[in-house]
Amino acid sequence: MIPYDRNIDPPAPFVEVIVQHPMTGQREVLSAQLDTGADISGIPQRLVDRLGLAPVRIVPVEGYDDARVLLSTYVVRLEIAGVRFRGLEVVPIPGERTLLGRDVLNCLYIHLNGPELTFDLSPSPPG
Amino acid sequence: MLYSAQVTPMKTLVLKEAQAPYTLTLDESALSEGPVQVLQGERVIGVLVPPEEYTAFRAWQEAQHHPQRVGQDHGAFEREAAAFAALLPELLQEYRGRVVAIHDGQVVEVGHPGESVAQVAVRVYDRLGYVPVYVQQVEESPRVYRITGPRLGSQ
Repeated sequence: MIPYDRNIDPPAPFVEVIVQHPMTGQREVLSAQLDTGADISGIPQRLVDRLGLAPVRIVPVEGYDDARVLLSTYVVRLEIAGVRFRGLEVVPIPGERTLLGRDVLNCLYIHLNGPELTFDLSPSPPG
Repeated sequence: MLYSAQVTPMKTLVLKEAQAPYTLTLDESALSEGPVQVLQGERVIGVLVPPEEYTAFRAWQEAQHHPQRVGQDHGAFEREAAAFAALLPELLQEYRGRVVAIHDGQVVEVGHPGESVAQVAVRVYDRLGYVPVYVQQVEESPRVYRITGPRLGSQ
């Protein structure tokens, strides 16, 4: 079981992911928050700049306040819990947070144990 | 145009029939059927391709060696996005619902039904290198995505 990150209040599930440039393979290891409220995953804008990612399209994105903005999207390779996404479309988000949306989470089996502040995540059903 | 398989920098061989150690007899129509190998004895010493193919290869090679530059070339991305918008009426007739990739103002890839933007983009990168491209699903109104986490900044 993986412990929740207790540095934020209330504690939340974060998991280590590897984000890579789709061609150069340049990579960074990040701590990403599981966010079932997000349709699409997001990586920090600064990581987009560091990896030198090129945009692939522009999409409208709405936040919790229904404010709509136009964001460029980028394609990265992503590895999480032994699952590799050869191409994953992501949006840039402010700050240093990385979000795993349902585009990624729906490929995994996830068990949240809220009372004990732990979770489990696997590409195959729990045995 | 003659250049060796290691193409940087391009070498040009000027053939002088009277003094040249080698001569080439080239039927131009042969180039339209694909690259032509140049042999010295049994050894391949170069390959002939049409100039436009060479230009495309150099662009691909540049993208391979300097992919970071592609990420910084926002003007190129905006031109591809504008080309997609201009082509949209035609694309709706032919590729409604499919994902297309635009490069140099032209459709260079059409996704299979159900393929995602990321899948098509990766295929373009595999084929052309990390070139500026605009990849979008062909539809009248783009889908709106929702993110309920951090406050989003506009671009």
